[in-house]
Amino acid sequence: MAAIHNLRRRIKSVRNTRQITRAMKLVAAAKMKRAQERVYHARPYANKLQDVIRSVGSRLEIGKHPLLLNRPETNIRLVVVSADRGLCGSFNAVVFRRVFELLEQWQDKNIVVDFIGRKGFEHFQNKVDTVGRNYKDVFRKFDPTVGAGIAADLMNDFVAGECDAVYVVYNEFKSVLQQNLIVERLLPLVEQDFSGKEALIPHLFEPSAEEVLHDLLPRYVETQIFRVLIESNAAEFAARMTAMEAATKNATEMIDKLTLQMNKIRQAAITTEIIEVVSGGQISN
Amino acid sequence: MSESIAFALVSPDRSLFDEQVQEVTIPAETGEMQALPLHTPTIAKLGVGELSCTLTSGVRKRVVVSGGFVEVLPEKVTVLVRTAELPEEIDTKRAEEALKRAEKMLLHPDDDTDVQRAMLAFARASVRLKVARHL
Repeated sequence: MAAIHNLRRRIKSVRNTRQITRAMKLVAAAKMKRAQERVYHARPYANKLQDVIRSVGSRLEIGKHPLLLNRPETNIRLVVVSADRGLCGSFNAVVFRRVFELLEQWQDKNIVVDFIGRKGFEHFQNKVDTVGRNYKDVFRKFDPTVGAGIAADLMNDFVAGECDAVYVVYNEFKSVLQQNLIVERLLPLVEQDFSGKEALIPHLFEPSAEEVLHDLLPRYVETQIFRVLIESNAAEFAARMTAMEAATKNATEMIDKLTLQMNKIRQAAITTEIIEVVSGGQISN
Repeated sequence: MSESIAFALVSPDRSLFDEQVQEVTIPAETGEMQALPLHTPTIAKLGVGELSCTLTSGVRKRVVVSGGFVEVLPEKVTVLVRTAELPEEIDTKRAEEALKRAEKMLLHPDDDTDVQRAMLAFARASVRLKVARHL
């Protein structure tokens, strides 16, 4: 009887777990929907802005603006975008693995690592030599100003010459079922390669090149950071939803298995009892 | 006017236009400018004002925009704005109130009046009203 009792208890506990994972899945699904809309609404602006920046970069003289300077990459700033919480499948793990690969690959360079998202910081704080900034509570609420502070820090470092390039590692929201891990160079803004290329007609600037670039380029960096944040956020919820759905399914399977096992034991017990009764009766006969 | 130019207008939270047009009139910071096909490459900062375009069907569309950039290339115009409002989205009542408020602030300035801000508010409200009345 003790065995049945134990099984019953385990079934109950798995059932409770399933209830929690199912609730988490529903919450993640609802949040993902909102995050997904935010991504879709923000994409056209970010893409158009990128087109403009590329076009400006290809028509401008080198070194026209500090954010466009291409220096040899000896000091690198790596921005790691992870989630604040776990229970989202391999979402954080793929980021960590990629970061380790990059660190390996850039062994001969000075790397400072910045963190957005609590998980990344917790994972790396004792594993990386130079931990830079740790941005907290970034994913709590969203408006376009969220990216501005982070962008300002990175641009200051870059302009001051503390780093020669800024890279971001993040998960892009491809679809509900798919997240893409992306490593992107944020600064300098454009790859400048004028060799053997016919010079395009340069832009006219209104009111002046300095003034336009002074506004336009930081704006672009801010938008890029903001885009990265909302992409990662949407991808996180998608990953969590998928993970929790799988967990719910596993729990259901486990409940079925345990129930079957319990029934078998109960049947066996009943059978033994009947045999006992029957054989007892035969003896008394 | 057989030729047309590609025109895209996007704000951080949505895309308002993405189509071929005959021309676009843009409220640049330094004054109004018109982009026709084969315009020379230009980048300009936007001010506050009415942006209008003529669709290939000849219909004129108006939008209130404030702040941002425009890139004009011979074959396309890209406008990135901070805020954009279509005429049907404008709250005339609110704009009128804002206009009065700004007017009052400009006519009777006291020590803590931010004249620059009041002027901007005045400009925004009057453009809103102007565009809304075209509807």
